[in-house]
Amino acid sequence: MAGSGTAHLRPAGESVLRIENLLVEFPVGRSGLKVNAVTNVSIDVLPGETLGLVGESGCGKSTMGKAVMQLVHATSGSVLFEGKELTTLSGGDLREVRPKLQMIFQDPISSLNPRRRVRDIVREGLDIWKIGDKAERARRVDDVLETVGIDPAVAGPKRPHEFSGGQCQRISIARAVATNPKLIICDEPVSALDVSVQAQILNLLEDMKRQYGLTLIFIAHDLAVVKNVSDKVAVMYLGKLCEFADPDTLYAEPAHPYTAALLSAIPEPDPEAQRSERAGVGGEIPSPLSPPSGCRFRTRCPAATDICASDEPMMREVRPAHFVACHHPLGDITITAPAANTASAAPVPGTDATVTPPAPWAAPEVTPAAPPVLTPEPTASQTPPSFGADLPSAVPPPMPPAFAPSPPPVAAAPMPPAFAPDPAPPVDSWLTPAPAPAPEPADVPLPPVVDWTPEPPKPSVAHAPEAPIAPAPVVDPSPPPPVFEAPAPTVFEVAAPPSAPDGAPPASEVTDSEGSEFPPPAPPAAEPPTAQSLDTLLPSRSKGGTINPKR
Amino acid sequence: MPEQSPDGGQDVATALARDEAASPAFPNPAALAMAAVEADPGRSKKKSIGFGGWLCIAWLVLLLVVAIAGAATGQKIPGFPDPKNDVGNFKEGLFSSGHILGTDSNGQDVASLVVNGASASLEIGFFSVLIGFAVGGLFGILAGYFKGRIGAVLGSTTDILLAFPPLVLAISIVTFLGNSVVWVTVALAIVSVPVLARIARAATLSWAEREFVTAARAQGAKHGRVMLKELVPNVLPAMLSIALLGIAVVIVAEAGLAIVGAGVNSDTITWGSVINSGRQDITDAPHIVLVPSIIIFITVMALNYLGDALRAKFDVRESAL
Amino acid sequence: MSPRRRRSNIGTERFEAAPLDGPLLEVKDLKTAFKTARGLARAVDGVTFSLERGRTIGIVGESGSGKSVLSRSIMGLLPRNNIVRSGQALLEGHDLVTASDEQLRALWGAQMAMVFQDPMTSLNPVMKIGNQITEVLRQHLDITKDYSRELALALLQSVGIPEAERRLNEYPHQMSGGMRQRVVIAIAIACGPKLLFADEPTTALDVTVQAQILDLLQEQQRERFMAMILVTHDLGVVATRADDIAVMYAGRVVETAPTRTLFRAMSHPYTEALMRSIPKLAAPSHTRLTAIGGRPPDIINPPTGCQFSPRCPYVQDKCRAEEPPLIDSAEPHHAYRCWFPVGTPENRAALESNQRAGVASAVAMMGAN
Repeated sequence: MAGSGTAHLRPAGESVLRIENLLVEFPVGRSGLKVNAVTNVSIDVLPGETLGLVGESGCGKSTMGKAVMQLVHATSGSVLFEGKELTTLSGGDLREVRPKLQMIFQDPISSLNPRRRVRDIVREGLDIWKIGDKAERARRVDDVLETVGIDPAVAGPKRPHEFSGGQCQRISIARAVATNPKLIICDEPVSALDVSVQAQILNLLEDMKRQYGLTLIFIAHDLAVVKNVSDKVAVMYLGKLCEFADPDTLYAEPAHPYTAALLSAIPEPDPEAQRSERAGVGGEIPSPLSPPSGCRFRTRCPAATDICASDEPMMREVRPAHFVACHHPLGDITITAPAANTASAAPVPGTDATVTPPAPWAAPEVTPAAPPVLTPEPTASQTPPSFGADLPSAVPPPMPPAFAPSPPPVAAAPMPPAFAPDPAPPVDSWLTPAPAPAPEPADVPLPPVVDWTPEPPKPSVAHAPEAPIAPAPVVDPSPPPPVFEAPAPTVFEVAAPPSAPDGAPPASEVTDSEGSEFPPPAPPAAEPPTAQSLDTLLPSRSKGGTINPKR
Repeated sequence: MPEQSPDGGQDVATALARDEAASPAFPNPAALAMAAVEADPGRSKKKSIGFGGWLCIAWLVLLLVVAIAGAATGQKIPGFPDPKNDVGNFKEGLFSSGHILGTDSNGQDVASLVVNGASASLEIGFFSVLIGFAVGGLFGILAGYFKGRIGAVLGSTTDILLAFPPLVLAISIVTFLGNSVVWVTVALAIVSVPVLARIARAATLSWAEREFVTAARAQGAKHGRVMLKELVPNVLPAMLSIALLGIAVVIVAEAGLAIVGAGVNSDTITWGSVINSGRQDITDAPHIVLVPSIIIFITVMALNYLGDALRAKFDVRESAL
Repeated sequence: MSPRRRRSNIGTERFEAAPLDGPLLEVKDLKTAFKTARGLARAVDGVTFSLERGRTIGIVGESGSGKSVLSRSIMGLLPRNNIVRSGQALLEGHDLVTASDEQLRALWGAQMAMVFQDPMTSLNPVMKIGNQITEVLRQHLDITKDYSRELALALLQSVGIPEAERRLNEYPHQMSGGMRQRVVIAIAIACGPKLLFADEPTTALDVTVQAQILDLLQEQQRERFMAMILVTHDLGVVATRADDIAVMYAGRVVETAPTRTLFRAMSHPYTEALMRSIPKLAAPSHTRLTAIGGRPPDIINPPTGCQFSPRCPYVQDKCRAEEPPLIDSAEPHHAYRCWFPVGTPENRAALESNQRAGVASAVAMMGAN
């Protein structure tokens, strides 16, 4: 199945919401069969962050949202909200959490009671929790209505059907923010709206986020919309997580074939877009009643091989802060070893929800004692030293660009593949320092991807908060000199052990090819040595490596 | 935005091709018009209930006045001959002197019987439906909202009650409990409970699917609040129009009970008892049956029309999109 | 055997022989209004365009712009009792507006067909797929049952349905949304229509399936030399699939042009605003979108002057007073309804004066440019 594993989770103390190995099953009729709407999905959201959850219908993204809200019952797994386990909370205790956890629904009409007045609808949460006295509540209602761009005096006494879809969605947003929530789950909030209205609502959500300091989970099927609002994007397919990364990275260099297919299927409003490049993907989502074994996407995947049917890929880091659950990730990434490891470590694909065997290289992750001190305040000075890849994303929009070099393609992964999916071509591409042909497995014929890969250190991506540790020689042209020096070495040291057994020799090979492939723009002085040994290369990908226990 | 399938989704090409006859499956015109008008849903027009509606209201007010008068005077409304004691000629026809609607087989004034009988008939009709409305509504909403065990139990209870032949049920209740106005009301209320419960349940089931119910729960509303604030206001209108119809049905049903001899005891005049008494003379004095029947008919019509008019008036256009 | 060749001419028999030169469809000043309690709702208000054989015109607009009503009005699918229609819609010279029900019935399916938005509801849920197709075939073609079944099978295969033989005996609910839409397309093209209306054919579908269905439509269109009217709200859908685009706003075509011209030199402020409000994949995340403020005008009591003027950043007094006609631009086949078309010096002057005057929508454009 595409995507179990928790490698992509940020340290436990940091997140507002942390979902681990969430499993949601629905019984199907009386047949005794069960649909796994969400299977072993782990995901977390940092304060102030917007997590985009994308996927096609039936991928479980909405169920995820409902499970977080505890509107559907999670079969197993945990949902930690502000350190509180929600899945085990019962009625009253759960209700206590509600005001902090709000939801905006897809259908603006259906989500407002047609027989109640707008003012009453927005006040509902305040009424339930008896927040303030009557006058205060009324004032609060007027305030939030005004901030969402609805005139409270005019609209207050009206009923929802007197408003257009966009206005209804504004009212929904007002209702959601009225109780001053921490986290709002937006379940396809704009997919029922016209494009012009959609833009209004998206802008409004961004404003609300800033004004009320919200954390958002933005569920949508429209990738462009998700990219616009998100700080992190998670791609789901058939109840599983496929890929998790910063939006700019994800969209520029999707590593999962499904993400690539999704991207290429988007009709771009540009007639010059090359039709021949429309690779798309054939077939349709299989029935969730009998999901494919191994990787769930394999039935439609152009790169699928035998291992995809037998082993479930685990989430692993292919670039700093870019995680994918795929045996044959696309792009300039050729880590086969972790997949092999995964295969040996987790031979049973449909493992129990509670046991998620992480790949060995992710081992250090088990040191969550790490830095609870680290309140994710967007203070640039505080963050860089310890947090490596993860932290920047914790920082909301006002990103200090100081430690944000663009995500270099970590084309490291030097171990010879335990089982090469397609032996000849990949090996070839590792070794040959060919500049143009993207060193991706030859059996991944997704043209758009090919298109993207040759230019990984895109300047456009540079603003994305990314990993400070850039072991590859490719560096952002303008890395901040001083900040860099200190953190990188420490991180490497810590993380060294797990990867040691793999030995160094291949590493140099890789770096060689790398070097020639992407002529670095004069590596700055502060850069880690170009001839990184494997020990230093590997850990940068593993989450564990980024947490510095010494700190 | 994706236009919410304004055509209501017929494949017109197929449907048309299939349908040589004149009524091809057109896309729902109302929905189309709506999609067209939808550009500005800001204004809504207050529908009036119209002249017919006011006529119905006038009739019902008249009935109400008569019924109150009848109840207050113990079915001896002054100005009309005492229906129980004032005996005239038997079976006088319509417009005979002193008896504008004639007399029945006991020589009692039909007009007086009908006027005085209004109180008991309406009492039975109104209160039994009221009870049925309250109990059935409660059952139905509970059954529709809690789809689990409570829903199953309540649902099957109403189904069992529904499966009982209503007349038999009413007759046995009256026979068992007695045939005063109160017990007849109770009997008819019990008969109307499952019907109303079923309607309430169906309405609740569909409304509970709506996201605003989920939204209320997500706000932390307790079940009671969700039902009271979110569901009841939406379920009530559907029940109300049926209940208005129900009053009419109950009035007729009471007459039916009277015909099989399970009606209200002979001390109390109801429309049903008048019809019952005129039954055997239907050939030579049809007016005895006809007059109360017409009154019932007009009342049923009025309630029916009013029910529809009210529903239309309070109908909220839910799917503006 | 191609079903197309077997097409009968039932449809055209009721009209005189069709002239083969000239456009397939010519819509001239078509107006369609609904009678509502508040007055006439002018859903389509004077639309003129023509469509050559084998070409695709994309009709783009938001909900309420009248794009769906337009296609139904041309096809004659609107109920006659509560609409008012005027103008002409000439299919090969025959006016569809004045055509009788009988004439229309002969054309539906045979000469023109429609693919609807929701494949679930546009198929009969209690009828097997095979029967739904053969019924259309036998309606218009004088063929035996067995042969119609053969054709149905071929049709299903041609629209890319795997295991077509088995699918013939399935019911719609047994198929996925994409498969159902393929069936709907198969039914629509069964009798080889010359004109295919696709009304938001992919809106109800997932993005990967959407691409497949659009490809299929295009492929079928080319193969059968059908003209297609592709109605959608998504500029992305028409960008690569349509030869020409007509942008609709408040029942009017506000801009029409060959696709490339439109995207290269869009002249109407609404088209421009529509483009800007779409989040682009290429743009970095958190790019602020330029939303169109306000809402579409009331089509029952439309404002005087340009319909877009209340929301337009370039609005001038002239726009509020006088409705612009369709003005031809320098580009071939490009026309727009605007006094101050985008990209002209007048337009820039108008924007600047509005920005100075503090018109909200104009001020909002400052950041965007």
